[in-house]
Amino acid sequence: MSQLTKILVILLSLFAIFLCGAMVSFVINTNNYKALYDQQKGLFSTAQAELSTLNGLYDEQQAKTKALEDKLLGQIQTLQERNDKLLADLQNSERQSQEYQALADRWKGVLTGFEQSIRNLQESLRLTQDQLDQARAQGIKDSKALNQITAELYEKLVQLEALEADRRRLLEQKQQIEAQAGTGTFGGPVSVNVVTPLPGPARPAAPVTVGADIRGLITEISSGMVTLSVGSSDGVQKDMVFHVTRGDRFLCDVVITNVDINKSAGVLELIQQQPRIGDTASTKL
Amino acid sequence: MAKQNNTAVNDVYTAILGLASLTLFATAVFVAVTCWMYYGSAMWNFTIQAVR
Repeated sequence: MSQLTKILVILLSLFAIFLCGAMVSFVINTNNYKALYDQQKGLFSTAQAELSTLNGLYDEQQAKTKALEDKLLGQIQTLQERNDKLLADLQNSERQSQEYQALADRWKGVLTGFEQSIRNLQESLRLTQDQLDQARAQGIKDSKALNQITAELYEKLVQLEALEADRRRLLEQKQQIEAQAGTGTFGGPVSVNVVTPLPGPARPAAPVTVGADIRGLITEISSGMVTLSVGSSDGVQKDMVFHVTRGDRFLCDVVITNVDINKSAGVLELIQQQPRIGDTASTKL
Repeated sequence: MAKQNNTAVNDVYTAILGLASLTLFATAVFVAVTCWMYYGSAMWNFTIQAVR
C-alpha cells in the first residue's frame, strides 16, 4: 500500500466520521414536521368547527337582532304615535285648564258678590228679627193692655147695667108714687112693687179659664209633630192635650210641648189616622 | 521481517476503513430509524419525492 493510499484512507475515514457526526447532529435537531402538521391540522379543524359554530351563532344573533330591531322599531313607532296623541291631549288639557281657570275666576267673583249679598241679607234678617221681637213684645204688652181694658169695659158695662136697673126701678117707683098721688091714697105706708130686680155688686170680668174649650187648626205637620194655630194668648199651656178630629171622626191626640204667643206645637199620640193640615184640634170632644 | 511489518500496517488501515464503514452504517440506521419514528410509512413518499 502506497503512502498516498494510506493518506487517502485516513482522510476518507476522517471525512466519513465528520460527515456522519454532522448528519446525526442535523437529524437530532430537525423538527418533526409531521407532528407539527398534525397538531396544526387539529387546531385548524377545531378552529373550523368553532368558526362554523360561531357563524351559526352569528346568524342566529343576527336574526334575533333583526327581529328585535323590527320589534323595537314598531314599539318606537307606537310610542311616537302615543307621544303625539299625549301631546295633543296635553294641549287640549292645558286649553281646558285655562278655560276652567277663567270660569273659576268668574265664579269666584260671582261667589264673592253672593257672599256680600248674603251678609247684607243676614244683617237685614237680624234687624228684621229684632224688629219682630220688639213687635212681639209690643204685641204682648198690647194684648195685656187690651185684656185689661176689656175687663174694665166689662166691669163698666156691668156697672152701667146696674145703674140702668136702678134708674128703671126708681122710674117705676116714681110712676107708682105719682099714680098713688093721683088717686089720693096717701094715708098709710107706701108700698112699691118693683119689677126690675136689684143688681148685685159689680165684679171684674172672669179671666180666661184653662178648663174652657180651646179650638184651633193644624197648620203644619212634620215627622210626628204638628203645629196648632192657637197659642198662649188663647190659653194653651204646656202638656195640654188636644183631640184632633175631621168632621165626626177622631184622628189622634196632640200633647203640647212648645207654646208660643199665637201658635203651639206638640207630638202625636193615639194615632188612629194621620192628620192633615186644616184638621180641627180642640181640648174637648 | 519487513513483510510482517507491512501486514500489520495494512491491518491497521483495514481497521480504520472498517471503523469508518461502521460509522457510516450506524449513521444510516440512526437516520432511518429517526425518519421512521417521525413520518412512519410516509417516509418512503418523501424519499421518492426527494429523489425525483
